[in-house]
Amino acid sequence: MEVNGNNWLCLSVFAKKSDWHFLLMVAIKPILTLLEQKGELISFKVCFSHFGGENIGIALLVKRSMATRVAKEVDFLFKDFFRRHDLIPVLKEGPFESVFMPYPQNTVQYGLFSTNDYNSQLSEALSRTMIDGLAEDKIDDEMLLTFSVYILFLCYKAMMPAEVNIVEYYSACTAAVEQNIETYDLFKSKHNELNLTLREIFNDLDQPFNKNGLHWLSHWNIAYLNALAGATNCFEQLTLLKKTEGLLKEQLGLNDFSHGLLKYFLHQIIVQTRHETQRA
Amino acid sequence: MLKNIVENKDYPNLEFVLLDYNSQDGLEDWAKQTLTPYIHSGKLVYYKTYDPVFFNHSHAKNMALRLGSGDIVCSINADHYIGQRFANFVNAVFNSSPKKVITPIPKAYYQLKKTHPPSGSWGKVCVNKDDFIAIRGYDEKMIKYGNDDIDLINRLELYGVKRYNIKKAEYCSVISHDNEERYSSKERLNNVFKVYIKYLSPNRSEIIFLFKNKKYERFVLKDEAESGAHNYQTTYLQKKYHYRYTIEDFLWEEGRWEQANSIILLTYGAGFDQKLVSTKSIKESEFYELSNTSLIDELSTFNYTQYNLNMMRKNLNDKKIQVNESNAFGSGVVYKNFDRKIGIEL
Repeated sequence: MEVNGNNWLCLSVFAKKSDWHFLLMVAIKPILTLLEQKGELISFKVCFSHFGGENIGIALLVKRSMATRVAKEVDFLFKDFFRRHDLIPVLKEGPFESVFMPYPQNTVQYGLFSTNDYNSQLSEALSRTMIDGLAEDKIDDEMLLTFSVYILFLCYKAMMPAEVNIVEYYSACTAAVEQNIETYDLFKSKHNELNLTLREIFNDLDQPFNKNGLHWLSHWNIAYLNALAGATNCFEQLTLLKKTEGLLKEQLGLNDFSHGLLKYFLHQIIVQTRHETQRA
Repeated sequence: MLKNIVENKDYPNLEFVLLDYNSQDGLEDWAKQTLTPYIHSGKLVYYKTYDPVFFNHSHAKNMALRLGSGDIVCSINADHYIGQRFANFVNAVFNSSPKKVITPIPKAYYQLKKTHPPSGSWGKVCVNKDDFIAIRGYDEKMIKYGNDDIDLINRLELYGVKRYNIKKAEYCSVISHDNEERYSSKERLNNVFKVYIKYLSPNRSEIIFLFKNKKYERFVLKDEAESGAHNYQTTYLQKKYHYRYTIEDFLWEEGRWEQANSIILLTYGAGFDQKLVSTKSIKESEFYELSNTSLIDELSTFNYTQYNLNMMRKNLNDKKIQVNESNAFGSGVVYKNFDRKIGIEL
């Protein structure tokens, strides 16, 4: 995809989800750092995906004149990574719930997705935050949801006190989840526990990031505060919050259920903090 | 129909041909009640054929256009409006040069744009009857949905006829309806007995449809958007394809199937070539029987819409001008103006 004289190089690194953290730490982070040090990278975007099999999508924005060289270099670096760690291509056995078979694990494929964002700072900041925050432990759905909750709560905290339109918006879009919440096994017995956990996460964010192991949120915090400074009214603030939600869904590969829960969790916190503010 | 007649009444040398393709929805009664004055004045001729059991777009259009007595014939679908003074417009275009085909289908028909006429109007075609006969009409092998009109225009162009695109919106007006009315998914799914799939690569799968009428269809489905994904160059080089999903090498095998114990026998051609699919030793043969109903539905729609498309692409690839070589086209017996005594053989 060509944008303003630059090229987005889109590659998909196919690997088991349980290997994603290792891939982030040992391959993706060093390769991105190398490209940045060489001045070859204008921006980048990382996305977790299940399209065509479990994979991490990476979009690299490079100058058009460098596209061939960078693509070749990145191809070599990823293949070298797989070789060095004895990660041989693995073809899954069927049947599959799709018309086409998934791509083999431990391979890199090109051009399976496209992006036309031009240097989106929030998207890049989220990518850096994903690398910093998710590279240490095996990634699973719960971890992705918790990570998203931290990001979204941090955004909300920066916007407090909540404007009426934000309260109304989240109240409306979580109504369906709210009505059916008791039907989810996860919440039957743990509703109070969950609210406490959400509150803990929210309170965690009051501390300096380096004191409670949340240093990985730094990139996102800076980028979001910058973006928020440009939002002059409550509608623009809400738009920014919705954009963040969209980025989390897209880049973390959240399914509709997880995305609905994320909005529900935010609504819970909004309601709690609104009550507290009103009482005070 | 009535609107079309009224809006073009000022053009004297115009004949409307209404072909009743063994319609079961009361068309004949409606025509008797409504169109008799036009039949008596010679403005309209009503023909009926009792032969067809299923609707075949290409055959029906071939019949209707062969029945037209004018120098220029226009194919107008039942859901088309032709617009005010359309006949005058057609006459003017052909007076300037007779070697033309009037069509709403844009040259780059595979890249739909908002400025293009609605695809529901694409069936409208006006052509010199001699040219239509020379290329032997619509391809009657196209027995499923769509692309028969695109194929006709392609072959006319190969024959040296120039495309003249209709731009006026009024001439491309249609009665809108959804895809379910175009091709009923229920009916299609009812005909499917089983679907087998063999995964060849992440962008190629071999599909076998077994139908309840003991016919089968077999093809390799290809996702062009993902071809060459292993090559890093595909990340910065523009991919060139007109259709994302295609049939590999245009090969769409058809034949009959039968089951003997756990073996499914596929027979095609003259019976010399036989292929085996084992239902029991699925792993050995690498074919999986699909059980996911939404996937079967998706593939069944694909099958229905790709069949003609594949044939159209093959004709274009082969630079084929004439079709229906082995048999007459638009053939059958028709009866004129409700007279069931004298059949006209086409």
